[in-house]
Amino acid sequence: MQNMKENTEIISSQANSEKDYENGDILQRLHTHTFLDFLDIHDDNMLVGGSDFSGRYWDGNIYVSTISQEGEISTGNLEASINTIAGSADGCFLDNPQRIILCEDSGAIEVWSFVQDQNLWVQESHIEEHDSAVLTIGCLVPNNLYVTAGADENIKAWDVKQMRCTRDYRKAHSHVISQVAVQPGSSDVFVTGSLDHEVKLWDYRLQKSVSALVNNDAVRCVQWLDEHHVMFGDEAGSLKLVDSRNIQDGKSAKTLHEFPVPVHKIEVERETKKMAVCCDNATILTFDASDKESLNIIYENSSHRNFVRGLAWDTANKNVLYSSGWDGLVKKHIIPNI
Amino acid sequence: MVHQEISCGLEYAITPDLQMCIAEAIQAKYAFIVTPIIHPRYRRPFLLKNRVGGFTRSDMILSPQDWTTRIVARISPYIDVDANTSVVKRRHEDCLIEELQYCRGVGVPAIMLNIRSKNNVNLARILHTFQETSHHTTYIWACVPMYCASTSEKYKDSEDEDIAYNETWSWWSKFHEYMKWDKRVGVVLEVSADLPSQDVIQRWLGEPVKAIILPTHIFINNKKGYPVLSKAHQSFVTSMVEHDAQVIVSGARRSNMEHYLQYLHRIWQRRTESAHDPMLNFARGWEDYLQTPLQPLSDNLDTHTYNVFEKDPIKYDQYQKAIVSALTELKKKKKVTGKTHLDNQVNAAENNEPVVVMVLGAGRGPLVRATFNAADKTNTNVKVIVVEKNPSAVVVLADQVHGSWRDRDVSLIHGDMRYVNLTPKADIIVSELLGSWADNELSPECLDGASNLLKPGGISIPCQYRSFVTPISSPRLWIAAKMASTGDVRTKEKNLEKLWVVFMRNKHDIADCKPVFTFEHPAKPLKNNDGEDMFDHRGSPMTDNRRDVTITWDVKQDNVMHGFGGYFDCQLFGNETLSIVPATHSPGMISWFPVFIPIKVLSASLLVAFSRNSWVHYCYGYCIRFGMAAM
Repeated sequence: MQNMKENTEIISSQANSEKDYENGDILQRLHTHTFLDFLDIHDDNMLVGGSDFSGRYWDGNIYVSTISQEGEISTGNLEASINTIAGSADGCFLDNPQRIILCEDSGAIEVWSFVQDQNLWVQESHIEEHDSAVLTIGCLVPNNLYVTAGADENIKAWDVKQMRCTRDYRKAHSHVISQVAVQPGSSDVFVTGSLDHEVKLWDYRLQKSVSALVNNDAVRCVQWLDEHHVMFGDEAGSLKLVDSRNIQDGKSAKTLHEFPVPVHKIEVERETKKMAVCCDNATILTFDASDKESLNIIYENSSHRNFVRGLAWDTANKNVLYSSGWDGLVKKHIIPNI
Repeated sequence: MVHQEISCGLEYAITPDLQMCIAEAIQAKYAFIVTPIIHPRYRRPFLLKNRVGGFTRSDMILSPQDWTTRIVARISPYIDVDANTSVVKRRHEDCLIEELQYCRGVGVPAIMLNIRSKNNVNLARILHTFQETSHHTTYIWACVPMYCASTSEKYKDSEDEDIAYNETWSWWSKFHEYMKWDKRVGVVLEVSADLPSQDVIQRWLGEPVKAIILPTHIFINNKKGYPVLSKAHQSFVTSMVEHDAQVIVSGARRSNMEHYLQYLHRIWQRRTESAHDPMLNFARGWEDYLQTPLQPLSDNLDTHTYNVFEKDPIKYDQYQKAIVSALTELKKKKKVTGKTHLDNQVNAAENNEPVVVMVLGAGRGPLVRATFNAADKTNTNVKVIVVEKNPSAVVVLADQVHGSWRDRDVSLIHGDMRYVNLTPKADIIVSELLGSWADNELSPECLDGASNLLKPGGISIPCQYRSFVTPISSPRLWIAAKMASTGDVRTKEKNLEKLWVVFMRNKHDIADCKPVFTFEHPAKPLKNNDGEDMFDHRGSPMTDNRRDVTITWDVKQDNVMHGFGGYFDCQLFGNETLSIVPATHSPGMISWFPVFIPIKVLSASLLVAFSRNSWVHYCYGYCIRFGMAAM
């Protein structure tokens, strides 16, 4: 707790002294200039990644910290955070909290691991095969097969054991690929969304896309609601649902919610059917997604001071959602049960 | 202007440390870098209340010189100001304008943005406004891929192999049209792993390609592990660079970045014949530079113009050879007629009689020299009569008559070939009166006017010539012709109704070169109603040089036609010819650049009627009519 207080600084000291915890409280204040883009949770470990967009160096800052079992927060090994040369748009834990894989703006994929006795993160590998920024990563087989995509319009699958590209879908889209999402329970099937307005369904075993949907606007994010249904958000602020088994044309998608700004990220807690969404603004909305015909808002929070970019559900406590944003803050939210 | 050296840039997907990236590129000998100047993932919160901090880093990290010479700025890729939804459109407009203004603020020489479809009306509008309000020139580089994968997928059953390559050309072509063919707008081609047919490549060579992007993945590693290009890509790169394109290496660093540059320098130096073509050397600096055709009849040529033309290594050789064969031909004829003559004395006298050669429009005398050389070669006794109207040239000729030609039988007449009347008549008339499009300078009217100077059955060198046209696409030449200032504002609107002499480089031939008009000398006189030859009061045969011709072409692919390339070929005498028709161009001859004949209204139909009106003093009238070719 001592550690945390130092890092929460001015902004939330009052709130913390009055109550133990309040929704939207600042979990971490990591870096004054860091635009925190992504979050990943592995048991009680949290990976927070971000970049600098307005300083002299557009470098990346990655932090790994631990969350205690009681839901208490510790900032963990902040001193041993990772500083990457180029910014980082996405990343995740590999097999354990001591190994992570990062997607870099330079087009590189990097694996870093934590050397316990030296209290140090060490770069294990660095592979530049993407021709432009890598923006998104998905896991097909944990600790084994991962899929990445980005601004070069290519999708690549990686055997992370040998750090070898095993599948290269060149010009998979005709514009920046904003997100890839792997089908729950599958080790082959994934969807991608792109600024070329298309959502495409892929199967790792096949050379070409299985099917594609043309949306009216650029697609900013995709996520599986369950093993058949895909949610996606677009540049015009529409949050849409499509059945992956019937992904043929634009009409097969159904608009479930309209935001005033582009939809940036969707994270689904599949057990409790809760869906958190963030946009190009400071608001986080959480929906009850048990009914595919209509969505009910069950939680709303606008306490970030800049765009919310990263969302992650706690793996143990299904009611806890974490968020990170371009205000450099990581926040914890308790989402009420449906 | 042709770059003697290849100019290469290096593209960075991101420049985490801008200063270091520039230093690295310069270290590797690249001339400039392409980089986003606002982080491509930084969506700016325009509507967020407490927006703090700048939207990018401070420009103070670079020197002003670096900004203005080393950086090509890339606009954020997500910006789509022609989006379907108006709210998206408006938001992106704000972003685009912010980025453009920032680029203007730091003074980058060029701004690069992607064209991803045919629909770019709003983008063109914004860029147009931006250009209008800029005080210094910032080039807009519109980046298009050569190949559109989604089109290829969409029409995968199509037999047209070029369909996916045509698609991206049409994006650019439409955008260029929306930008009103502004000279500050160029295209940057992202080269694909497979190259399209020659037709498509040739069409790109007609566009103002500012740069080509070579993604590192199209390079292959040779045995030693160095990156190299396929043969097809090599020749594509050299022809693009010859057309002024710069080269940008882009993509993942698959090899040491210096190796790519060294390799590009090597293939540029290795490029073969074209680099040593005398025409290319001569024309260096004149590529696509429009000139008004010479009017040697109304304006007397100056000594520098004569100087340039006399330097042609080929033309006067050809003339000399033609005169040699004409003299030989005349000798043969005389022998034949000699044998039929019974009177041997007359025969001998005739044999001793000099051959009369008239040089019409002698200038400073190169054709006179060619005549003397030919006479020496064939051992013929010649009498040369030199006719020239330009008083300054006559000064030079008179000096030679009294000097180096002192021992020759030569007389100098100062006058207009159309009006002088001389005896004896000529056996051979030698002249060089052709314009780039054959009949657009002095021929055939001046030569017809002088036809009474020729003996019946005499020889004219040249004896026949033809004009040719090729329909071409060249936005660059067209806009240059439209905008050319000839000094007189009133004539500007006639710019697209004129012929322009130009060494055309940035153009694409839409179809084959076809002959238009043919002229022969001596011309056959007109017949009157009784079928008799007609002569004027001086005894010259009356000729009619009005012509009409209709030409049709089959066009293989979509194009925007901007006008015609005009050429000529010419038979001097016997087998000796001169030609500037591309397929038969006399090797090494530099005297004529072709003409560009713009059309006023851009159109795609290609049935063309050329007519040549009667000649009034020194005005030539051509009329070009278009019709839709019957399919």
